[in-house]
Amino acid sequence: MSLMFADLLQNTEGRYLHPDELKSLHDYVEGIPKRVRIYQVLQAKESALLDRVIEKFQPMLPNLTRRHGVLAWERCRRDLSMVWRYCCMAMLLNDEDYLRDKLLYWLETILKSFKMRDECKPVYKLMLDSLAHVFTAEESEMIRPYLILAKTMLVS
Amino acid sequence: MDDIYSWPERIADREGDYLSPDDLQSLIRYALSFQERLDLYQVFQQQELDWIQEVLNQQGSVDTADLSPAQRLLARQLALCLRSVGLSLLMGDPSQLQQWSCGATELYLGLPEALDQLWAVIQGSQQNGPILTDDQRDLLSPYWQTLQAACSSQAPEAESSPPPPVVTEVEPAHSSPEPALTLMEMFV
Amino acid sequence: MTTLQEILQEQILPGHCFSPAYYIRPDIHTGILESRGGYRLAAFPMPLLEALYSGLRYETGQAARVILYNCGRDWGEEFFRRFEDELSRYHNQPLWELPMGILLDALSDLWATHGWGRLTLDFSAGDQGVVQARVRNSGFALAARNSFGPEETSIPREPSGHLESGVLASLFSLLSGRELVCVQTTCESLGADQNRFLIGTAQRLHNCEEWVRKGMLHDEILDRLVATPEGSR
Repeated sequence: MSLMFADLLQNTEGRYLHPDELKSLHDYVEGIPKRVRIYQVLQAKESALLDRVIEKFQPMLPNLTRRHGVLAWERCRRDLSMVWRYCCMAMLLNDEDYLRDKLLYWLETILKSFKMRDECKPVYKLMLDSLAHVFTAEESEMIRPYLILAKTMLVS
Repeated sequence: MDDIYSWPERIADREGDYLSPDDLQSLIRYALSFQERLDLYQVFQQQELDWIQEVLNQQGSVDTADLSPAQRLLARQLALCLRSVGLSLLMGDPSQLQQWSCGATELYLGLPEALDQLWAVIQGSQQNGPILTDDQRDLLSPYWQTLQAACSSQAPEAESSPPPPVVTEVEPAHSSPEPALTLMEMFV
Repeated sequence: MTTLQEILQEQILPGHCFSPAYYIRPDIHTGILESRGGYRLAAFPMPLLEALYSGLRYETGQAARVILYNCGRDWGEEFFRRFEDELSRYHNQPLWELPMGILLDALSDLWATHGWGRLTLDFSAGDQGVVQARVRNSGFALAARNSFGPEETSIPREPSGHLESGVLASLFSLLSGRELVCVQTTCESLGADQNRFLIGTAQRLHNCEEWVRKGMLHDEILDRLVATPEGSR
């Protein structure tokens, strides 16, 4: 399911799992129900989060539609939603590599080649700052590492 | 019966989106059934030797202290099947089993039939009663069937005669009086 | 003497060395695709193979088949070395000590894992010095078929698995320790249900290419070969 499963599969061909491997698998699976619960909240409140982020972001880029067309804010929101969903999936899987491999390597190249890194920089900070306004502390802490990873790779 | 499908596929299908409520529910069900899976996995580990021994016994008189090369190969393949099913069960992911393929050697060794026997043994035809509970059997059954289906889907290829060198080298003791040629002898 | 317990106690039981899940190891970070044994692999798109076929045909005409066959032979030698290295390391046994069935199944798996189709080997004419290989769903034959442009309909078609013939000739030469050749008798690119190959010494298969060109069927060719005792051609 996640990289952990893939690694286990690769490394345990033809034998039974060792006790330490069973233990880490057990720990991983035990965390699943909580991750599912948080995932559902993150999904349900995506709109609330993005409303807040866009509202604060718009005044920072008053010329955006003039430079990138009338759909610019719509596209901005769509891209943020995509990043958010990949972060959520990575959180659910407890797997930062999922986020890196599936989205960030690709998006990093796109942002670089369109020279959008500076423009996008504030929005990731806004997202991180907005977490506390939309989610509980526990929910925020579960998703924060993935957002930080996205911020680091995409705009830092 | 537990729902059984491949996680990597489901997750790949929903890339860039959210998993469906059904998927999330079955993820939770998987997590809640993990202890059961772990228990069953450990039964596999403890019983492997006895189970395979029993299958070999059913195939005729077997000197387990001195197995023939063919018996050794068969025993190894059976153990490999048990371990693969065990791991898939533990991970709740049958995709590895769907990828299983039965080569000409395994068909020649009678692996599909031996798997049927092993399944009967696992379900507890021994005098001391069933080893698995009904719940355990229900949990295991779809994984086992996936493996068996993958194995028997190879059967049409079996119409080609098994290569003679397999016979000579795998089982020298039982080969025909005129042993088949080795590759090197064939092209003299 | 090997007891059951000893077998099962082996730390790792070897299964299918070349099953895709374990054999192919991609690394998206470096962009490197490697095999189990650390050999570099590279996937390339079918149109590239099609372009190689049509380009070679355009530039060299009839020589294309010989070039491809010889490329296949060179490739086969390297391929055999990798096969031997990976399989013997996996089973912890020299290739020559492995049961022949395991070896041949592994070869078939390796073919499938690379997407070259399903390889089946038939030794029923082995006593007559001929091994038959069959490949279903060959990527090479598919590319060959697609490589012909509409303006090339007048070109007489022949089996097009020259690369595969070369690689099979090399592989079996190295496996048997004798110099062997390979002739393709049926081809998916010509509408056959599978690609059939005959492998044997050059002397044994001397007339086969001619027979294929004349349109003889695989079974007819095989019957003729089998009916002709060694050396009495």
